[in-house]
Amino acid sequence: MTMDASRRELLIRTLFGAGMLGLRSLATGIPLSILADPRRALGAGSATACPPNAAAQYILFSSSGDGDPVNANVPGAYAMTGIAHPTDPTMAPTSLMLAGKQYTAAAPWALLPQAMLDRTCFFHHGTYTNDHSDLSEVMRLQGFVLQRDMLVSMIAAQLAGCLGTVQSEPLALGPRSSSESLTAQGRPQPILSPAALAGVLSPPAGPLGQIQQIRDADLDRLNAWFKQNGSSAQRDFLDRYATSQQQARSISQSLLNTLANITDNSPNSQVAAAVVLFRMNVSPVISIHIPFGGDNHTDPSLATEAKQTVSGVAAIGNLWTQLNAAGLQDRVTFAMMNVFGRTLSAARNTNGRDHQGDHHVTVLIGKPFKGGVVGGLEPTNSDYRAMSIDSSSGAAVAAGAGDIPFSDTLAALGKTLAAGCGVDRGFVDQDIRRGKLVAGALA
Amino acid sequence: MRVGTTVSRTVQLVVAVLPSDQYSRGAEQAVLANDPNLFFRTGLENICASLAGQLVDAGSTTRWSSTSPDPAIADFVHVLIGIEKARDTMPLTILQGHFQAAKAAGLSASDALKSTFALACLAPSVAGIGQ
Repeated sequence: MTMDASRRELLIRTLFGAGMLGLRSLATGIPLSILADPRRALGAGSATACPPNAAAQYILFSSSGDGDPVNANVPGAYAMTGIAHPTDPTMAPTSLMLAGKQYTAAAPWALLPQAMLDRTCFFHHGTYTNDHSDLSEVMRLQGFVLQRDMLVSMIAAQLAGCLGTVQSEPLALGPRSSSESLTAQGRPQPILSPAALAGVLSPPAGPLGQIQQIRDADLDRLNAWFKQNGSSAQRDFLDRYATSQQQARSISQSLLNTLANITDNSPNSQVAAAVVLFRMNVSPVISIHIPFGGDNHTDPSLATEAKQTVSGVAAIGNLWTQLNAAGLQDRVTFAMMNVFGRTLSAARNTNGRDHQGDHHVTVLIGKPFKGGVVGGLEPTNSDYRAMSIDSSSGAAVAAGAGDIPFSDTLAALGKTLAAGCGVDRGFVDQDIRRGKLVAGALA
Repeated sequence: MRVGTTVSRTVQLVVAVLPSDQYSRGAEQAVLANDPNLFFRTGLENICASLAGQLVDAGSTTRWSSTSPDPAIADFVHVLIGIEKARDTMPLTILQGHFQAAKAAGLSASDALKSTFALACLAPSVAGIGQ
């Protein structure tokens, strides 16, 4: 590189053009829009003012664009004959108690601690799509969240003030592809991997780390100098940039050391990293991906479904252990919602399952929720679909006679999750334009 | 440093977590990531620190040398931060002051210049630049 190289060339070659560090890769995520063309940038996040709220919950949200067969092996899916289940002994139909009421589910679910089961709600609903790439639409409750935001992003924005979190956007820890990524008010969020967290958040090693405070102070002086002549958009950016530095310095070194011990991106590592991030109070919502059988069109004897259901439920049980160890068992709600469920009929699903947008089960586990089953399923054409729901009891109502029709069951799930986790019910009704809260799902 | 140069594992990890610009379904303009959040700030600092090691006192073909700190710091201000000479007094003062403060804190001249590079690299006009 010559000494008279233009600034742009230098930046491209040194900062943005080196090896794996391609221009697009690094440029993405850089806040270019504010300085380059503020008109193109979307509006800043809109966290609401919210007083400290004891009912506010952190949410660990597991989602999958694969459309895993969760719906096939949970309470409610054994209420009628004709539904295929894995024949593996580890998946044997087993009785379990949810808040004092008996249900049947695949054996792994019965292994969860009773205290956890008593706050586990299996919410049967539709997602109305059979397309893998529609996960983001399902996360938007098929467009019924205000301004087409994602449900988790709306909840995070509403709860950030209540919880005093560092940021008001959800964090994505587990996405396996861009279709599982998160947006908040339309802005893409970083996809973090558990194994990379310590590397991202830790201060530089060696001498440069030793004088971080001096460098921070001098960067503050640079920022102040830039701010003197900046536009309002640039000053806003500088304020947020300064805030991000304060956030970075507030991170506990001991928690960073805990993160450094996470060396892979397995579901258990995602859970471990999420618990640490909750302890850091980084975000109200963290998304992960716990496999439960995946896109199992071809799955002889449903063996993969069986294996991953065992490991998936075990990961959820591990979450309970870790939350209790951290004293967060009453502060964190776990929710698992995928793009769609899988077909169920035993007549054609013993060696694999197809996409089923008419029936899916979201699993909700947390202090705000009452153990049990909301909704249910009924035969339709050659398979099954979610039934309408009675909003007060949560009971399934046949023939579409419930006050939550099949077409609103997804929005009802969204309202129930949001309200249960502490979002003001007025906001819930304002921000989710369809469906009703299911009071019977709440503790 | 040229395109094709291998960067450190740290840089690769950090870059992988930064969000991508993308088009949102039905939107005519790209969605641009524009939040200097916690992860962006710490990630960029680690990128800058890592690149400092590859650009300052990095062997015979090094871009900048601590044996000539003044031209290096002037380059940081004019080329990296992008401030023209007509108004470079304050940023030059800040960077030169940082270089001296780093040495006074016990760092070698080489590490002090690397920290000065990292400081310039974190300047808002660099953090805010894009494609």
